[in-house]
Amino acid sequence: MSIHQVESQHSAECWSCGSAHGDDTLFFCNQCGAIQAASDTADYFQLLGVEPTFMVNLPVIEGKYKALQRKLHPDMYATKQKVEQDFSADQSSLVNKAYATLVNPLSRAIYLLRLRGIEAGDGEEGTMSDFELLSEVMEIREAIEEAEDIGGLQKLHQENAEKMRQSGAAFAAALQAGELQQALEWVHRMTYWDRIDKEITRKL
Amino acid sequence: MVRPILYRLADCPNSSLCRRLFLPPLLSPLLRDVPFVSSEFPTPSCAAFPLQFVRTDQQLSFSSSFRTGASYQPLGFPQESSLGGTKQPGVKSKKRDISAQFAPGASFPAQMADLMESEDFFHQAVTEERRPGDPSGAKDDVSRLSPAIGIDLGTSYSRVAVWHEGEIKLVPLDENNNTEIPSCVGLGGSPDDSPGENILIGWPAFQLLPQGRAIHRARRIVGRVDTDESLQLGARFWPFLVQLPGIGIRPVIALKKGDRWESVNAEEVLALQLHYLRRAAERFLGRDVSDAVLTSPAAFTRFQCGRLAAAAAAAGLRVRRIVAEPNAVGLLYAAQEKQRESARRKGTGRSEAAGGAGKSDRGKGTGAPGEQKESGRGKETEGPKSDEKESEDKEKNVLVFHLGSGYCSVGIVCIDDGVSQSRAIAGAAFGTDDFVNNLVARALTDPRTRAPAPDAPTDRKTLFWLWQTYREAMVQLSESEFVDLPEDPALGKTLSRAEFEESNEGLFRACVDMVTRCLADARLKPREVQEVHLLGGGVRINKLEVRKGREYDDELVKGAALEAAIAGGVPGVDTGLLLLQGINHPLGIKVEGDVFQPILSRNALIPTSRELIFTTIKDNQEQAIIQFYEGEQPVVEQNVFLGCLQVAPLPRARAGFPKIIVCLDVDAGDALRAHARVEMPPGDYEDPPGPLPEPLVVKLPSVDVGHGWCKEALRIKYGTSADVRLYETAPTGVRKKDA
Ligand SMILES: [Zn+2]
Repeated sequence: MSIHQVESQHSAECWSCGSAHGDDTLFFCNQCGAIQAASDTADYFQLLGVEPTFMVNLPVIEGKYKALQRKLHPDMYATKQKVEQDFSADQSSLVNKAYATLVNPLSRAIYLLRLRGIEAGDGEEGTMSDFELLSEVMEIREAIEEAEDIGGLQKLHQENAEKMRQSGAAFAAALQAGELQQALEWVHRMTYWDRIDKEITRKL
Repeated sequence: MVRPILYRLADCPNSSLCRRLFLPPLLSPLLRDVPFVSSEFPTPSCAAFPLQFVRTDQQLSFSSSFRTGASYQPLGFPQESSLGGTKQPGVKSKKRDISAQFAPGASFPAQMADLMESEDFFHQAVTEERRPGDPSGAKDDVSRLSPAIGIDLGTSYSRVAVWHEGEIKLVPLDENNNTEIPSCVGLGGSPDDSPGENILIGWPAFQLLPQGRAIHRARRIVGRVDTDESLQLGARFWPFLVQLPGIGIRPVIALKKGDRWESVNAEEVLALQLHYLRRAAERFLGRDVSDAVLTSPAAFTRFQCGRLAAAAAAAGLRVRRIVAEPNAVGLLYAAQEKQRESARRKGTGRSEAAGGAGKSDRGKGTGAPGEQKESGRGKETEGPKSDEKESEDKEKNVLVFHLGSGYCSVGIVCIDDGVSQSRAIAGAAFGTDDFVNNLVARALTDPRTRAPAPDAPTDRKTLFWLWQTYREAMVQLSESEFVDLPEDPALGKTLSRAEFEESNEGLFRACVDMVTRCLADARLKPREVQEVHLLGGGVRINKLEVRKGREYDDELVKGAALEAAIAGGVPGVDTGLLLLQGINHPLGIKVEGDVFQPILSRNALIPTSRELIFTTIKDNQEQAIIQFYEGEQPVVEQNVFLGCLQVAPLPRARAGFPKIIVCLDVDAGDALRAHARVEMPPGDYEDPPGPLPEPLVVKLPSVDVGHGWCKEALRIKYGTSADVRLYETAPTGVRKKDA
């Protein structure tokens, strides 16, 4: 939430020409093309124009993101009115957040759950009651500690990436089947893999 | 044509060129499959960036296209390129000449004070007097037509470039038309203490260095404190006075005036340089210049960027953007790639219009400013699927590695059809200077006892000479395994490459670590990096003689000039070009237990904002002091203090009850703002909680003396009584599970 958004609430009409917004108005007026206030209802998938699923096509997201920033970035509004500059700053910021959330598997999974009313934390801490998983995580941590060369770490890194991929796939399946509780547990696993990933990269 | 700066691995089979930059041999195991691609920079076929230079034997001169229209004035540089004292001829500016305010012989700080005071006057002068003074621009669009300039205020060399007449031009900076000058500020004039001395910038100041009458490397000093280890080691070898008592203050630096030391500070030195550069740009353009885009090393903290901006303000420049070095290179490269691509398409007879989205490229100099700009935006169209495929193929991940003399910056940028998106960035506050420092330190150490050699020289002049000798030797090591050193008791007989590498093992390791971290941050495997661009000035600062007509590292300043043109909406600039920068260091606040709680993470693309909810740690806590920090360390003390917000009075409530909402907001110009407000969750309160404090917004950094004292002072005054911690919103999912 930035200062601009407080000042200019998303309204039902174009600030410039006064025509009513369509259902799909996210960034620009359908009539006059003027940039509009950032939507406070659209979710990140809608903003980037992709299906709200876990298995996203990353290159497509990258492409859509850049196409949007080309049109929304404040650099493009240097010679425009103040109101347009403010809208551009908010819209560009929002698109950046949407992109950052969707491009990372863990934050994307957490966001998908949030859209379904389930709060899985922010991916930085997770509570874990699955002892099997806990001991697995402990083992990996020890292996990281003991790894002596880059090669060993890289192997662990690859294994971890594979676990992340598998957990992601399982999460996607659970979500699709509507098994939200299960999906949440997979997110917890992903949280651990993500943390391990960070630990390994710190040592690499 | 400018000489290529990038090196092809293939070009240097015996890796002598690589040796010159030291790094490819080190990086190559890491980036085994990556071609060290280079393109000639700029390519002869690249029509977008023709440089209007003709090379003559000794120097660069301008070709016939050097015209600036009605307001053109011949370049008139005074004999000594002085800022103060003499009147500068050849400047047709109706506004009062700021330099005329310097009384000859006035002391440095006094002159700076004048300069600062004249700021209001200055901006007034620019806005009021431009119209009568500038025949070409009469209306409001003056600012549009007169883009900001790009400045690369390097540790050792400075450059200026500007988008002018449809292309990026390097600005000649002195009477010899050098487009890069040493970042040196000196006191010229008579060697005795008589009045009439001048402030000298660039080469004239550079000559005075050995006598201690000039300051260099102010960018290494700015925004750092005297406890800094790298400063402690390096400053011994500087020819001017540096005092580092190690108590957390700004380093004391001074230059020689007669037989006394005249103290200055780094911001003043930078301001004088920037003022000089601004004036050179004004001469070149024949108009006033009030805005600039600066480059900065990736390692620069926000505090340092703030000091840089303050120096710019003192020099009469508003900083539009500060572009991290790898991003400047990325943007320029993206533009050149796009230009090449469209040239290729034209060449193969394909219509450019087939490109679809983002192809609003109207080339340079085709006139019709602003039209396609409108049509390119405002429509929420995305290209058809085939286009996405195509752009996907063109996407290139480029690793930029810049080892300057004071700082090392690494970045991975993703180049795609004119857009340069930062994927990861890392920086360190060491450069080639530190490599030399280590060599000298080694020479001054007794190899057996590891203590300082008993007969080691201590006087400033000798140390500087030693340092320069080793710097020279380091460069020669690019071409040979051994270098013979001049005969001197303080020097050994030779320096070998092995010795050099041994002395600097730690720095080499740090270079590789930065690349590794960038790859990890960008979630890229080495083979997914298509190109590596290496640049660095450190290796060429070695020769003391003035080297005219040689250019390196121009990409930085050209990238800055391009960003200035893009962000200024200058007509004629391809509207398909865009620079997407990220945050260089995590930003967050201090929470209970001296823990750093990041709010915005490293590499988050800007503009961006994020809020986190915090709460009190004590019942009926009266206030919260939100302390903002920047840095990578989990222990808050080790990060850079940016300022604090006092949130008071807090409503009476149990610990953990009030919601203190903190939002960090970084805009497209990389300005950081902190917002704080308090909310009380709905509930039955025995006592009415009382009024809430008003929401606050503060621009950061809000302290101008970071220096570690503020955090200490806060601790002494408040202890933990005003601490906060994260507000606990129990994840709903977890609660469900318990039920
Ligand atoms: Zn409209």
